[in-house]
Amino acid sequence: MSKLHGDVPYGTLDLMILKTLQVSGPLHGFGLAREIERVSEDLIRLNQGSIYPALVRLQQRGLITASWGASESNRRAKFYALAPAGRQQLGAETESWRRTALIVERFLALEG
Amino acid sequence: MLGPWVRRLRMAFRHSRLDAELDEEIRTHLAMATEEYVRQGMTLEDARRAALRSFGSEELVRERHREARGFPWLGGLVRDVRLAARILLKERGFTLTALVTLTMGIGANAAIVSVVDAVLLRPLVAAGVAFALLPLLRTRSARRFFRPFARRSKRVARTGTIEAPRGSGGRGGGPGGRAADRVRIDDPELRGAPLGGALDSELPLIDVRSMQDVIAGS
Repeated sequence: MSKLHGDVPYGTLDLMILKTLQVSGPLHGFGLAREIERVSEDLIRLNQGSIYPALVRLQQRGLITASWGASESNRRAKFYALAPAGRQQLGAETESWRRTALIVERFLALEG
Repeated sequence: MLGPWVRRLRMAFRHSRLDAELDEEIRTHLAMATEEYVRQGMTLEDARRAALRSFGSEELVRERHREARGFPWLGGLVRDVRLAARILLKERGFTLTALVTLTMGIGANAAIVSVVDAVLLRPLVAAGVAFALLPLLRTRSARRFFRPFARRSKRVARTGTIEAPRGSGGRGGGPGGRAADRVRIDDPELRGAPLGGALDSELPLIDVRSMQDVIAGS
């Protein structure tokens, strides 16, 4: 089980990346990592490097695209953006997570 | 879904470029993180250390990145084959035993199978074809066509000699003139006779008796 300051719950990093890209638009790796940390506040301690393998996986599945561009501080950086297939996948996964959460919530609410 | 496979394949063939790109991404990431920590008031040295800490293990990231793209089992396969080759070279006795066993096993099997195929299977096919042709051989015109051959083969069976058909080059054609019209079947000279080539190859294949039975309509 994940505790406070825990690792990213298994299987949720992809979803967080897709959702963040949908809301914020194209981001480079660092921006993406900071954004995920900001949204999850103190609940998650992200090993920022771990988003890069996740990004290449998502890229291979055609869910995101990558292109080189210039950062705010005029550095050359790879920017990731949500692809149409990623938008679709995000919709499906959002639905599935809500259902899972609802089911778990119902069981936890049981009183004995 | 062709897309993911094409992308995967492309990535599999661009390992060194993708490694270099990841290195650049990591450098940029650490520089950006350091900058941010400096903005928050850290000394450059502390900021650098903090950036490295929040990034996690670079080596692990590189490894996971490589595993995630392309066909990771391909690299594993190459490693396994190399290891196997090294062990086989070291364990000569085992290698030799295995090699001899395999050679003999495969060789014996191939030999037996080809014998079975030639002796048991192919004649069955030929018999099947002949059986299918039976009705054709029993027609009146077929009988008329085969009658001279049947008569001649009866005579061959009776006398043990073969006559060259008249006017087919037997007379004066062979080296012995008239003498070559008649050839004993067991004569080694048969090969040189005008009909020799044909007889050589066909005589042993035709079962004269059953052919006669077929033509007689039994």
